[in-house]
Amino acid sequence: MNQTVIKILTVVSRVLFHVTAVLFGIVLVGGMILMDNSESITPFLNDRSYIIVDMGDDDFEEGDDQYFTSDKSSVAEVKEYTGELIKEIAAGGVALLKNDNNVLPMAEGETISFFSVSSADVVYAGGGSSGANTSGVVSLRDGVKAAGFNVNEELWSWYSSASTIEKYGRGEAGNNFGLSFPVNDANWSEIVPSAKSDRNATKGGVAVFVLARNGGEGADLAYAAGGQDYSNGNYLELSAKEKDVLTNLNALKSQGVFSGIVVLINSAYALQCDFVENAAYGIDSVLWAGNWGTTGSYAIGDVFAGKVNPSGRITDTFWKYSYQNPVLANFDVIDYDQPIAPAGVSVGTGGTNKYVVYQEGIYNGYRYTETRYEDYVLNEGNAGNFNYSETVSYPFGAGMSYTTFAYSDFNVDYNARLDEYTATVTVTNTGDVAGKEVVQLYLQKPYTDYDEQHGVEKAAVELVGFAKTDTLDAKGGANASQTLEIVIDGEQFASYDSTYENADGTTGTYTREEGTYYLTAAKDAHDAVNNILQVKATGEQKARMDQAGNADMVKAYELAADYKTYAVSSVTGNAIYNKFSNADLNLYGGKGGNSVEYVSRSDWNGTVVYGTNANGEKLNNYVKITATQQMKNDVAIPTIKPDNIAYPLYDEAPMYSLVDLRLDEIPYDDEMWEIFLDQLSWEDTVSLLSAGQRKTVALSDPVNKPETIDHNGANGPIQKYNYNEKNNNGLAVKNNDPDKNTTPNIYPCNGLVAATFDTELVNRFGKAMGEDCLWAGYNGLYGTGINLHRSSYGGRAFEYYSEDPVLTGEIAAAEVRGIQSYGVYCYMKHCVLNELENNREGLCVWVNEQTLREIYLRAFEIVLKPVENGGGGAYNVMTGFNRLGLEWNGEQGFCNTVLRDEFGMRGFAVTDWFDPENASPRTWYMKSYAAILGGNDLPDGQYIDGGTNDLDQFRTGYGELAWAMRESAHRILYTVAHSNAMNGYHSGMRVVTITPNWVKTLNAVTVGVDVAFGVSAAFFVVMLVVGNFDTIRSGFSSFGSKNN
Amino acid sequence: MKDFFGSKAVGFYVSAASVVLSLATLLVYALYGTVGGGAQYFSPTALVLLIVSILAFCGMCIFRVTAPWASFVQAVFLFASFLVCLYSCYMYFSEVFYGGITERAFELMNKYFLFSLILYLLSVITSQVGAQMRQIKKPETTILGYAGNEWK
Repeated sequence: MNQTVIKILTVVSRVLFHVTAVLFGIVLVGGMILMDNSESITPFLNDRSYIIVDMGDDDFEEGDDQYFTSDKSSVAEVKEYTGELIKEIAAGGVALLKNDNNVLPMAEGETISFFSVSSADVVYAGGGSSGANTSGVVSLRDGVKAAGFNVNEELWSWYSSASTIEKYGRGEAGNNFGLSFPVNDANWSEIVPSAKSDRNATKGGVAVFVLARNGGEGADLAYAAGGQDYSNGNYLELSAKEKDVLTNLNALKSQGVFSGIVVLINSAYALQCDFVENAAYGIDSVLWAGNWGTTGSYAIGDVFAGKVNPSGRITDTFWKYSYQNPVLANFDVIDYDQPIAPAGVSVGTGGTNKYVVYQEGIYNGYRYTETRYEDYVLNEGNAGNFNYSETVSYPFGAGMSYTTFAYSDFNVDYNARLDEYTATVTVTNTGDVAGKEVVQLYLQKPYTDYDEQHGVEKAAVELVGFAKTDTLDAKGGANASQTLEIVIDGEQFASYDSTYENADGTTGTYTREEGTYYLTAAKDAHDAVNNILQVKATGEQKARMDQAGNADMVKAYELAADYKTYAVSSVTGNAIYNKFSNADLNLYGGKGGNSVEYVSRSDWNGTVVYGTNANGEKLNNYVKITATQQMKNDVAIPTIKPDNIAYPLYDEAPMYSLVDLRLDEIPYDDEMWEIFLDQLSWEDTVSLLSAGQRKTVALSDPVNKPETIDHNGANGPIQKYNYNEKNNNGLAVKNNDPDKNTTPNIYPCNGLVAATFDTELVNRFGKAMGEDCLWAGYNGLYGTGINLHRSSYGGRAFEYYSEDPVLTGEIAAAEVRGIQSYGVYCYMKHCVLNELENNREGLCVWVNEQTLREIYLRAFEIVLKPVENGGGGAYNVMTGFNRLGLEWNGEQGFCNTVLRDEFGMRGFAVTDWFDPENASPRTWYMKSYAAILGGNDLPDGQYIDGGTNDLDQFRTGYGELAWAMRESAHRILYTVAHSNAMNGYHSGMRVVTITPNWVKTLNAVTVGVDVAFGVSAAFFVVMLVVGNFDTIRSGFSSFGSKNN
Repeated sequence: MKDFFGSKAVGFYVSAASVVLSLATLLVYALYGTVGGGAQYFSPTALVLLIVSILAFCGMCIFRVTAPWASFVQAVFLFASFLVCLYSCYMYFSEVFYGGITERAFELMNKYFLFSLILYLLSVITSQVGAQMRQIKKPETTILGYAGNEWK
């Protein structure tokens, strides 16, 4: 061959080899990344992994397969409907906290001057999984104008300009990265360039200062000096700029420019409220409105105008100074003295080597402030000189009205057969305008010597029920009075005693101690404890009360001890005993020399510690834990050993499709389900349990399960109506609605929903949300969020309702009943103890069992209980990233032993976000088999790593796991069968799984590149040989001659 | 030493530049994985491959027999290291751009990560270019006919 040709071909072969080698590497790794995330990519590309074929072999008639229907005809109509409900929730939830000089309501036609950049840049939603599209929201300006007010347009125009928001707008708070909490806002000198313009406050009228705070997923808020808020380190305190603006507004008010100053709080986080009564600011009125949703500004306008009389009640204690909240002593995540993660494991930003101790026990929020106040009044429990008024600005449940109400005829009847207490109270409007009133029923249990000796704690008051009146006419009106009825279970009189020795040899259960129990109807938590004190305190003690209580609103019961009735679940009949001992550092077997002194009302001064001093400097009073070898052993991923248990049946003759089992007459444990489950193949089971990435996967004939859309968020649906359009069975897609490419309205933060204290309204609100989901194609909703506001600084408080578990549970239950009535199964999240966002992945949370059960699990208990047992009937939960002690939520087992065996949960549990281990070590501790054996059925991600399905390795020799997998599949299939995912399905339909187009393309590209690489490699080698033929030949010749 | 450098062609210096960039990458990437807060998305394997690529180049350059292969081997290991690094950190992008690909998201990106990725890219590109270039001025026939990166 011509040498020139050889040279050219050699160069070509070299270049080809090089290029294809690079491509080979890129495609290899790129393919792994894509396939590891295939379940996300398919919907993102609007591709699909299955098709539906109607075989026509049944006698179904058109329309009979719509099991959940809507009476709305378009997305626009749905949005109008949900917009009305959002407005109604905002109107019912806005809480008036202060109203001096009757500044509110304002006269029609009044001019409103809005101050703060946040007035034009309202916080509608927090960041992360509840992040919502704000297009279409109603501004404050439009809201108040609709109510008949004028707006200082020049000022508004300046605040709302892009340049002002760019320069002075809030920073992003609490996202996963770049944590910062910039309050920012404009200087007074910028707002009032006196030499340049009169844009400021010369328009007169009422000054409305909007005080906004925001947060998000993945980060908690800064509470101490050194924190990053661009101010003083305490994000929930007023910043220097805000103080300056308020001071100057007060000066203008003194000059007569403004007739009043109203502070509108636009924050799901309870602010430090020391500013409210500061004379320097001259604040007349304070209105808390949380994050009020798309149409909530109309409600704000109506409240300003008096068209709506505020009836919301705050769902958290509003502390005067945050540092007085003992929770903050153990709020930061703390490093163990040495890492406990196994050697060689990188935990990334995860919290495996970190911990937090709920040292305050049951005493969070008002349970602390009111109990210590009572003990101060009674001079008990070493309460010290507790100054309530310097601690609390507004107690839990507080809220004013434009009118006044009187309570009378309080009575409580006990029904022994049902073990129910029915409280009745008559509410009468004694003011001049119509309005609604919230009645809160609180219980006080006796704190006995036994309790003190056994570490059982009892708050002075705990909310056990509530009710809201209809709109009552002004005094003298025909409907100025209403008698409310509140029914509570006898269970609420019991407390969890983790030391009680049960007859069956187990330890710990719910008991009711002998003693005096008080029930009181009250306006808020502080009112409640004062009512009770009015009955039980002596004259000398009463002198220490800050206000007189109403003894007529108290009923006392002398009850005998009961150690049996509440020791079993009223839902399932199963025995209740300790299930979380390993999460209590005092009971954990490997604690070494560590221990916790929980807050106890037997010794307030001796057990309460604080996180910071008055200057915001950290005191490092947190519980110190020294890592032990046993901790290191126990934090490791549990191993799984082969067994000899026979596997379930697979691939049995087909008898039913999933849709055949959707009837309520076929209960979960019906034989039909077992026959149906026998039809599943091993591959079906593995496929179903391996990917729950905002969905459940499709299974083909004979199962015939469609893919579902299960998505965020905790406050309501946030995806577009045509999300994942090819797999979306929602009405917007089905009807090809012209607005299908839009997103639903933004729903209010859950705190505002709870602040309504109105289960009837919330149930209607839930139905509206369910209808929205039906149109958006949501089969499952990752919500609602029912962790508690352990502290106001928890980053995701906007997703949660309250510091109180009963309010959270009852409101969420009403909402869930509404949502699920549209066939949308709810995932209550994040179960459990996910009150912190920092380093949440694998974070070790230490807590005692009484606190866990009575406070943090109680809301889940209420919402998961079947409807027929008075619960919300929620199907599912999402488990938290964190650990209970050292065991990850997903593997701990409580999904089975508590959520199902005690609470009666019907559906399945999904993990929080699961990253493939190769992609992110942060969730290294989440293992498929451990989760499934622990009753955590599905990952919010994929158990597929580097193209390998983790569960498939257990095809033989792991019978226990195989049966657990079958049960997990059962739960998922049962839940889906009863959902709106079945809409459009009937017996004659078959699901045929297909390879998504993008996967086909990827496969083709991979094959092409592989072939090209192989061919070019061969070409390269050939040219190498050809080009060096002489050299090689001479080499062989030499080799031969040597041998010779 | 004079002979050593005197015999090298431009390709050698391009590959050597890549090695210098790799050293910088190594430093920044190691910082990212330790004090830079990036342990979560850091790959020790990528780091090891990066070190191998550097050592391989330096070691192979010393010997006449292996010198012509140095840039090639370096490029292979460096590219493998880069791919492993990408596989380890791609979720980071998913999280950074959770709220959209915005200027703000770029601002919030871990600077160690960003810088190491830029250095990685530069060193990979340089090494790939270097591997295609002549390494030695005068081709010398060696085993299998590989001569100063000038394939015959």
